[in-house]
Amino acid sequence: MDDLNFAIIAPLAFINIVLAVTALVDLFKRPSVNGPKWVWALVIIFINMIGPILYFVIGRRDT
Amino acid sequence: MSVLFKKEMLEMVRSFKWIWMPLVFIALGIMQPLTSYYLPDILEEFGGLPEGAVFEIPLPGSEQVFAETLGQFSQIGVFVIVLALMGSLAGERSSGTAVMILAKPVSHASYFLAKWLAGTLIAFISYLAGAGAALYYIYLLFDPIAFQQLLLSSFFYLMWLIFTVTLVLFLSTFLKRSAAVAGAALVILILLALASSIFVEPMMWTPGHLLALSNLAIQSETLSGLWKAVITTIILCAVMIAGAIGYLKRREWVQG
Repeated sequence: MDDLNFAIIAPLAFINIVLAVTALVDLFKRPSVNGPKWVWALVIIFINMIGPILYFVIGRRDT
Repeated sequence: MSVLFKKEMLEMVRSFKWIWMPLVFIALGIMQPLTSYYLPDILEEFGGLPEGAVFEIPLPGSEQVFAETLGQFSQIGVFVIVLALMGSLAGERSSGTAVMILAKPVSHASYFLAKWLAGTLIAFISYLAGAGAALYYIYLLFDPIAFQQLLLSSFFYLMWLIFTVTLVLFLSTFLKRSAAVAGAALVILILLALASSIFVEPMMWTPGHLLALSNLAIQSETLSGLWKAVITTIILCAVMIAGAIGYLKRREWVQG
């Protein structure tokens, strides 16, 4: 396990960060979502990849 | 048609589908080659092998790794596509958006086809992004794969994705709740894929066989029953599209 490992795994980390940040920005801008906002924030931050997707699919409420 | 198509694309941008769908496929495409490559290390680290045990695990061939990636796409990737598209018509019917759109001088066919085209496009782009990421990692960690095999394999896989998109939109026209759409679509897709892998011969003419074909194509093995599966898929998709448009035209649709 050397430096090469990090360069190879970094894109995965980057994808997770992009997903989480997009989801969080949308969560804070939206007036109301399905369920309490703080729960969604925890889900988005702590559940890798699946958290943000869950938010996009069932958390957002269309107005 | 083009106005409706633009509306669909805008809707997909607003709901972040253009961000998260390709990203999920890219992540899947990266993860599979990585786990295949580091499997010996991972086993050593967490496998609890007895002290001094020596296992020589041969590195899988690049074709096999790509086939495993396709397996990930058909499990998690298809799940993602179903979730993203389940509300396409059902959601607009329950929110009242459909009433407003269909009150304008647009045909029911173009209303449905705009959604179908947008759904197919996003599924294609997501698959291509994911397959591209997988190929890059396979190129880094294993050997490159012959282009012709890739092309043939992708053709069958894209046919399966067209079938998936069509089925979800078809169900979304008939069922009122998006959750029901997702449930029904996943049950049908999983049953098709499972039946085709268990009963190979009798299921050769069903869309489920397309998955086997994309696997065989990448490992450059002989393809059997290829036109049967492709033709049935095209016919089934055409029937579902016609059926959905026919059902949309009924007066009760927007009111229900």
